[in-house]
Amino acid sequence: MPKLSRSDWYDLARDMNWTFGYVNEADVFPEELSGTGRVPPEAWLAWDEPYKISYREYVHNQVTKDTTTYSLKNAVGRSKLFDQLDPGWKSVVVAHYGAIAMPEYLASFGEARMGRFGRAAAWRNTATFGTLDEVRHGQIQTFFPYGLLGKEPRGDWALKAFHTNNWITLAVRHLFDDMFVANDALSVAIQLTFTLETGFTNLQFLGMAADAIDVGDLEFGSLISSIQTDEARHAQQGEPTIKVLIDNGHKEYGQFLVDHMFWRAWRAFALLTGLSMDYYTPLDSRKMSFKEFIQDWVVKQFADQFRDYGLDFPWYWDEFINELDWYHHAIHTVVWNYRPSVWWNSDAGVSPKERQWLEEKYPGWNRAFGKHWDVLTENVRTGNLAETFPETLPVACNLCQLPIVRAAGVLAGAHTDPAPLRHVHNGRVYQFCSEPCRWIFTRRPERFAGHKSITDRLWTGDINPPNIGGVLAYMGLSEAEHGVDADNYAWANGKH
Amino acid sequence: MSDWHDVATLDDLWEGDVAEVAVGPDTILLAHLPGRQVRAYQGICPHSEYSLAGGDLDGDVLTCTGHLWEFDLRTGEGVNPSNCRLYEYPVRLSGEQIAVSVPTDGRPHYNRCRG
Repeated sequence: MPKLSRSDWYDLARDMNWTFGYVNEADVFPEELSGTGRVPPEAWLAWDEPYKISYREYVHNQVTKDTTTYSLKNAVGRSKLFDQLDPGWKSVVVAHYGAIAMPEYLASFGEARMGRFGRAAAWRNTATFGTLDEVRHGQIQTFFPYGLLGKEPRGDWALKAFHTNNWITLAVRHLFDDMFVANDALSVAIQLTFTLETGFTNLQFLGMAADAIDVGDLEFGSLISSIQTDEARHAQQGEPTIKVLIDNGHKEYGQFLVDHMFWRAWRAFALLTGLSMDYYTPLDSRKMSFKEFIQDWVVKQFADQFRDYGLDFPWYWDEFINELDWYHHAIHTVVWNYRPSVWWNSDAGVSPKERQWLEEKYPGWNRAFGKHWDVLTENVRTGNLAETFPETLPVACNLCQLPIVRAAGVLAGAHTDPAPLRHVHNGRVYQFCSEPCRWIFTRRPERFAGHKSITDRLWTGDINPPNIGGVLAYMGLSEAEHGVDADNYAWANGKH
Repeated sequence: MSDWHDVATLDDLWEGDVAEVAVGPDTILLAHLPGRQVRAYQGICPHSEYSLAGGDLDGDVLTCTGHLWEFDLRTGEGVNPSNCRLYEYPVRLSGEQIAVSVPTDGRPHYNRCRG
């Protein structure tokens, strides 16, 4: 039998669209699950993914990737490679697994929702592969840290983190529930695949894989590369979706969804990638600062894409650019101060050489943040470790769930008032770290109003006793799991 | 304005081979296709900037190792996806010597294509 080339049969096999005779459109594609109702059904037929793949090719590719990655893991697992890694880098890996493994699995829900409620067969087809991708990513990123348990018991936070009320988990879970677990198919395409994956993670995974190889972590490098190749394929759902939306006169709605999620993605990135790149990755392996990374990759490349589609910069663009200089430094300080409350060892990353690098990359760092670290350094040097731990909790933002660090923004010259922003909804006061977080909340308060931040839980008696010990227990951390300084304070004594 | 640059010889680039060369800010992919046909294209993938010289050449079709995007190196056209093409440099063969013509505007030359 002659073998047809893919293009001869692909559209026919893919385009399983038909006209409903026995059911109503609204019963098959309920708006709260599909979200595509603004555009007439026939207009969705223009949806087309640029990169095509058949199921047979998909399976072949995935088997090849898994075989390569698992073989490498087996070989590396028998070596001493992990033991020899820099302690800060180990923190990057342990933080990543806890914060990302389960969300990848949960992303399969969002992909599956597009696979069922996407309004074009081509879209549902691409999303079906995306569902399989995300199941694979959840499994592989749980299995790999499981292999590390003998060397790093907190590798099990890959599975555990999302089953606790750890404050980092609260922030990450709130974000991903909003982005894909509790989101309609159209919004998942624009907010997960376009805004987060195309805008941020595809680029970050490339850099992270390269960094992993550079520090000698072949296992993690190979894992991240293998995941990234899937991401780039299923991320292409965003582009045709936003095109159909704009071509049918709904640019404003597309812009709203992008503006909403770009800010949230930035917050999550500042927390996870900002700390990793500028404080945890060993100095010799840093190719660029976090700010340079965001400027070169996210701002330049992703912003080009906004404009290609006729979208505008989000309205808070100036505030976003301004935050590149200070926000993640403030968050890093909080995470280090509260190091027992996270499941990885926080790397202060402020040895004399590292401070020099920070001042060079972020002129003014010493003035805004160095002074704080001077005090901490002095306390460590004089054996006064108790003074380096805080006694109260910071106030968490009711949208991003991260600590409100406007006071650091005042030091950095970005804000004039350190007080949290407020909004009253149905008699309850909500507090926010920034105008965009407040804006996201107030545009759709019913979506967010029922959630309690970690601070709310403390104030309303969910956490007992309401002290640091009670908080750590509430967050699911046994004493053996408390994070400690990754370098055992070597940085304070001028060594590194 | 363009200048011709000697970049390799046919001894360096056997039929069925691809190679990467640099001319100023340009990274260039050389390909020796069946029938003594030599082509020169942008050396990085228009998708995610992976080096195309690490790709697999099967006949005329090169598959990038980054995300398995495919390009027809006879024409530079994308095969999958089909909505993009590689920037092409003119090639001149003098005996064994391969020369490529690179515009002298001092900028690197490549197409971008997202997906």
